[in-house]
Amino acid sequence: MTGFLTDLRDRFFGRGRYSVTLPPMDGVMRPNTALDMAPVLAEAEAPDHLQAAGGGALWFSSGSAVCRLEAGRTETVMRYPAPVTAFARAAEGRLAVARLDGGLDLPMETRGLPEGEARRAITGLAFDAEGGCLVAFGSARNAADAWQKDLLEGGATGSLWRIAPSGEARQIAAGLAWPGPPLPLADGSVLIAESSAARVLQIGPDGRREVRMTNLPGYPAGLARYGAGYALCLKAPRNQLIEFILREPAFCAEMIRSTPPDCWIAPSLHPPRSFLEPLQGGALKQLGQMKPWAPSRSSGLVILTDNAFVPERSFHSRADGEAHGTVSCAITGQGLAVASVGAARILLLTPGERNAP
Amino acid sequence: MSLRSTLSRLRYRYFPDHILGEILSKTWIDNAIPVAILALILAGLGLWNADLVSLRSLTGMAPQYAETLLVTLGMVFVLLAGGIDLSVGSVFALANFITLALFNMLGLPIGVAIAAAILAGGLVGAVNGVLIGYLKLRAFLTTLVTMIIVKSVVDLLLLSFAVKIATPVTSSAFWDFLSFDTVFGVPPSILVAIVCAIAGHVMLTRLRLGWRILAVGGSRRSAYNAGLPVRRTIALTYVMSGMLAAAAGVLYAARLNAAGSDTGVGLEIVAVTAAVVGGNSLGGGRGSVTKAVLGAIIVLVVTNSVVRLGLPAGGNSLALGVILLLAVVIDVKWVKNRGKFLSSVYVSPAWMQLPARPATAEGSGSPYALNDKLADVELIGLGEIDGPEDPILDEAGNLYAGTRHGDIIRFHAPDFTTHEVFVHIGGHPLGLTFDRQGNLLACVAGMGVYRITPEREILRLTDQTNRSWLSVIDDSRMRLADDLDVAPDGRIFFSEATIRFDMSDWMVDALEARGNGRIICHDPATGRTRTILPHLRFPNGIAMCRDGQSFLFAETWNCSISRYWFDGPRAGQVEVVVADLPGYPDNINRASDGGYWVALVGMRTPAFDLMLTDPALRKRMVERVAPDEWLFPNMNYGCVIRIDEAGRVTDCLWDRTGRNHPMITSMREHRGWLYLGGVSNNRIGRYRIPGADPDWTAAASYRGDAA
Repeated sequence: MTGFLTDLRDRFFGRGRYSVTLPPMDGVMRPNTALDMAPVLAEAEAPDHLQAAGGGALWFSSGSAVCRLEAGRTETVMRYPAPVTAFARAAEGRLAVARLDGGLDLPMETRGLPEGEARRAITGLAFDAEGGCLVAFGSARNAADAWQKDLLEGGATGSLWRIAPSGEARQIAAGLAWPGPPLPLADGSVLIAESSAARVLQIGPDGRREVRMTNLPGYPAGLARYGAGYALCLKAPRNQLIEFILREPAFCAEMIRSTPPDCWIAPSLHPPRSFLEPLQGGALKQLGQMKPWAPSRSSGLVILTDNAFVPERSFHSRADGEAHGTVSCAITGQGLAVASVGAARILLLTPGERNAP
Repeated sequence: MSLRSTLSRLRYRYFPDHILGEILSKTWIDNAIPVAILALILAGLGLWNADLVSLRSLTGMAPQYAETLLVTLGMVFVLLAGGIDLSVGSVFALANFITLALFNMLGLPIGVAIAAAILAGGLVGAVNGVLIGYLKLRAFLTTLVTMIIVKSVVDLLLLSFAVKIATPVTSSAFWDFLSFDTVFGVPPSILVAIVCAIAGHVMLTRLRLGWRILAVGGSRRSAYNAGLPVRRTIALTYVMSGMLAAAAGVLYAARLNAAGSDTGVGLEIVAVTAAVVGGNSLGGGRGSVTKAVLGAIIVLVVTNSVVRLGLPAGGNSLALGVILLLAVVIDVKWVKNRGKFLSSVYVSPAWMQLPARPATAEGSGSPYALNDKLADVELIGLGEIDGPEDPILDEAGNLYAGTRHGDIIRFHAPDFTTHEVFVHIGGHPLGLTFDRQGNLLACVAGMGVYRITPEREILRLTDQTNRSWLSVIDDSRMRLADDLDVAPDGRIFFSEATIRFDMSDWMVDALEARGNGRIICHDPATGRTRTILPHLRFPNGIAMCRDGQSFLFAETWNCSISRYWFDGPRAGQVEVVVADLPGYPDNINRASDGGYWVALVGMRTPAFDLMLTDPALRKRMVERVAPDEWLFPNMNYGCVIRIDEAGRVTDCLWDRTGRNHPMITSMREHRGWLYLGGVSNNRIGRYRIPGADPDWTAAASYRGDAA
């Protein structure tokens, strides 16, 4: 009863879970233009799932293709009939590829993994040290390209599976809010970004979850080990208006029903492309310019943390930038490669001495 | 349309949500709380014991009320200047004693006695004033001390003369009149109080001294910096307070003809309570005579009721104390939170559903299909001009445009590389037009309609129209005159985009989507200004049709263009010409092909269109989300279309990237070129219209109109 009253009060005053406040971008998170200034490693249609390979090569998925970047040249390794939604490459060269049409290529036979329509929702693949394969399903209701819809629907139906080298599949965790690509750790646990919940979880082999980072200023996606700490990519910023809309399920449902996805009030991976996209007051061009601090549905942000997940550095592309939709990163010999979907590029960050590998 | 949306539409059409914010933004709203308290108290007492609030009971209090009101008035003046006067009770007793002593005991003429009493009050006030105003002592302590001293003096005098002063040795017709008579049933003391209250009201609201008192109380430092005589003003309030308390003492003497040691005791608490309950701020600077009048009534009704209900001794003071405490809490909270509350309730969205959005996709075959014709415009004045809402050219080819700095800038023909400030008006000039005599007419945001002669003389044509009866906002003022055009007979028709928001917040009006704007006609021949079309959704561009009897006007948030006949057989009729634009129309101007150019200042987005049908959601957004994060129409892209008089689209010019012209508010055709302006842009664009008549000018076109 008290809970009900508290909920009513919070709803009336916009407090508690009805509040739309966001973490301030201060201290380590102070904005810069590092991503916009970063040198370009390669141009690609929609780069994602970066995988460092030996000899300085970088593998990644892009649209319907799997590509390899080596010595400045991009080469298409495989082309599929449908967009690749997840991709992983083991150190010894085995590949795992999931596609939007439900196709899933694995180096082993599997038993027990969800099949059919569910396989269209695979958002992450990774090989662990024992040769098993981790599979993240973004949602049980939506395909892998519909993360905005799942977010607007308040979805928390994702799951994480592990396929043992024998091919036996086992569910490690369920009820995840759009998990991203898993990052297996040395102790057998898995680090995974719960995108729609704006947090990072560590899930033990026994399924025990611990929240490692929470209330992030954006929707996290790709993770990588970086030196003693971690690199975390946020694919889109959280935004007060979107936070507000997320608390209005009836409006969200009507918007999903009646308007095209590009026009939703929802986070986006790319800077505005059309006048049909929603615009917030602060993003109005004044004297021909968009302010960098304007409210935006898209941005680029990569955070480096220490071993205890305390942020140490951050690299930004703000409202007036282009390197938005930073979905994935991987360490190469030169530094940290970052995939920006918005700019259709792979960028190179060289953070320098501190916390270098 | 579903039942739910029909209900929503009806509810938002007929329930005037916006009035709450408008009422709260009125200055008299501070009186609402004391009036409500008074009503509650009267109702409560009436329910308890109807006799307490009967007419007889209330008129019985009248003489006492006169005294309370006079003391309260003095207290309010002091409070308004930021002080407090605790000595009023003692002064009251002193004046009572002096009046009786001089008249009853010494037999002096009553006029002398009254004058002496009031003079004595003024003197005590002057002592307070000098100590507090000039020597900057603390008001509370200082008046506490004078209260004790004066009280002691009165008590000492009473010891010796208490009996003598109560037995008159002389009589006076005037004194008897003051004591016993009535004028049309009203005791003379009430008349005195009313006269003082009216004088006080005039002083506070109309006279220099009153304004100074308010300024000093509002912010002493600012008043000092503004050069006001702060010390003298403060001192004067104590003198006024002393004299008013003394006058009350005189009335008391006339009423009771007696003096006792309890005369005037606790009066300062009564006066402070009355002042604060009425809504006068203890902090100074906020208050009025009306509030004093209300407060005095409340206090008197309560204290008298307490007495008549036979509560034990001390009940009276207890009641006063409780009221004072409550009033102070309300005062503090109200003053602190009023602005916050107002800003959260002012924006009040209405229900609206736009017709389906026409296609704009490239290659869609739609007349609005996206292209990039404006990609290579020539730029004029890039970075040198701020906010050319509506550029215009004279016959010599010079280019004029208003700026946010309040200037009209003239770029010189033929290449527009040099410019000068043509005139400085002060407000942001929006719509511009030339009348048939070659004068430049300008709609100026926040100021009205102005005429600028070629010799640069500025003349205000109009800044107010008729007040509508049912508008809470004073809609006779012009808040956002936007665009104008001149009929063949010289009448000026202009749009006022919204009466609810200022220029800086014009886009917030989009969130309301209510008919907040209007079209107004000013006739220079008679000087009369009348509203002709009220309740339009951000009326914007106006362009005379070539028949000389009608004009086209754009309603921005309605995404429509309509035609209004002001003369001829269809006079008074409105006809929608284009009902479903893909964006928000701004200015309309004539084209050389017989049609009209229309600027689309921004584009409709599906998300915003959807939100228009959910006013409650927009209201919550306004309350919860920071203003910079509110959803607006997409004003970062615009285009220019050309329509014929029937509303068919004959051309469409896009700036696909929005790099040069993200928000197009106006365009003018002149000798084969189209000049583009934007209210938040820093450039004027110039586009060569393929195949346009290279000799066509708007001025010549207007000369060719039917008269």
